[in-house]
Amino acid sequence: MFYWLEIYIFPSPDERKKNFLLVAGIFQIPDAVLLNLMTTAGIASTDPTTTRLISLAAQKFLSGVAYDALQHCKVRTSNQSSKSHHGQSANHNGSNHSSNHRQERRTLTMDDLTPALAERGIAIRKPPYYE
Amino acid sequence: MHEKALMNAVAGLLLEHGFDTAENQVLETLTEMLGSLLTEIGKSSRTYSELAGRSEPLPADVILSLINAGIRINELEPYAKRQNKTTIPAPVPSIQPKQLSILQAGTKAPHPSYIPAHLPMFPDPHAYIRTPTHKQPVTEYEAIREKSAVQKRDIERALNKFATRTSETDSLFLCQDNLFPLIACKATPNVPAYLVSLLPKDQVFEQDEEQEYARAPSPPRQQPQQRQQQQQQQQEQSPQQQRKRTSLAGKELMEESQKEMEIDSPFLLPAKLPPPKIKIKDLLAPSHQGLASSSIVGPGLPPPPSTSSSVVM
Repeated sequence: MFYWLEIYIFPSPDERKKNFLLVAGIFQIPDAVLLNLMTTAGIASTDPTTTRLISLAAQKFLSGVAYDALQHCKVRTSNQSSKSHHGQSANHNGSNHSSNHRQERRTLTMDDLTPALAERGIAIRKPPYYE
Repeated sequence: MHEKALMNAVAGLLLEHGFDTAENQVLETLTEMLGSLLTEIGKSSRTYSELAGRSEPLPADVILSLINAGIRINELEPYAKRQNKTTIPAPVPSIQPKQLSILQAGTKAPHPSYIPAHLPMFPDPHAYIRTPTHKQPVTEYEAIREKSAVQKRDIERALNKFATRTSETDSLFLCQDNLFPLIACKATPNVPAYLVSLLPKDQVFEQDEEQEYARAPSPPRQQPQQRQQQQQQQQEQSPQQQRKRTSLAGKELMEESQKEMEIDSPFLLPAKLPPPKIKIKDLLAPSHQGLASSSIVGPGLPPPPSTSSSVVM
């Protein structure tokens, strides 16, 4: 934390060069979209460092959520595949099955996302009418 | 519009983590979460900056708000420097349809400084710029004079036409003539029609006028040649004879001669009764004055007395 404060409150020229936030092209969210959202938040004009820092934090958060969801997905699919593997093993060889499992397409579903968000204290459910 | 970009970012993140597809519901949920999180961090950091007395948030304010939200900032830099990154190209700004050069007139005005550049251009200048045109009034004397003359002539013609249609008309020819009508002359009996307009009204007493008209039997005509002859004769007369004549003549004669003396300038001439009446007087009393009335002589006047003529000859 002190390292960050040193970078942003008392920046020296060397630290500015090291500042990764000034490197363009590493962020998924375009700067124009970020500026628009910051305007909604009440920030009139900001340097790109500030907005990119916010963007980076948000992406980091989503990345964590996606990682947890991926783990849930892996666990679930492995459970299902193990079940199906037990069912299929009577007919097929094990080598063929492992190659099929590699090429399986992973789909993020609400079943994976809901526990991943619940770990962070975010409860997701449909509106009462759709339940 | 920005939700689409956010959704692209979410999809890129999911691809990066090894997902191939995702449900629409998941994508929309994550997009909403991303937008909400960005906005909330922005609001929080703005609040921190305002708490510190600044109008714009610094990165330090953002860091404080992130800490307040429970996001570990130590992990941000390694995350930013990760290897397998997917980037999304910035959205391309929409291209304005270019107007056809055929319908374009003039050069379009550039935006003033207070109008953002992405707003549409001004229309063609002729659509909103107004150029006043004034017709210069004619101030030349010749033109004005000519115009007034034409106007006056037109008025007179119109009056003539009106008179010929509303009143009686005469004809120059013996037959009925509709081509060249003349305004009928409605003269009082024995008085010429132009007499009224010749009389200076303000200095003429109406009683005298009426009396004279009543007396006048016929409008006289004065021959200029005869008048010249009479004047010559009068000049040739000797002063003695003139005295005799004045003595002989009555009071009226005296007045007449005085009036004659005063006619040096026509503008100084006092109000004078028209010639017919004077001549009528002469006609009425031809015996006692004879040539004494120097001014006017009627056509049927008797020849001057032999005395004066003989003296001259």
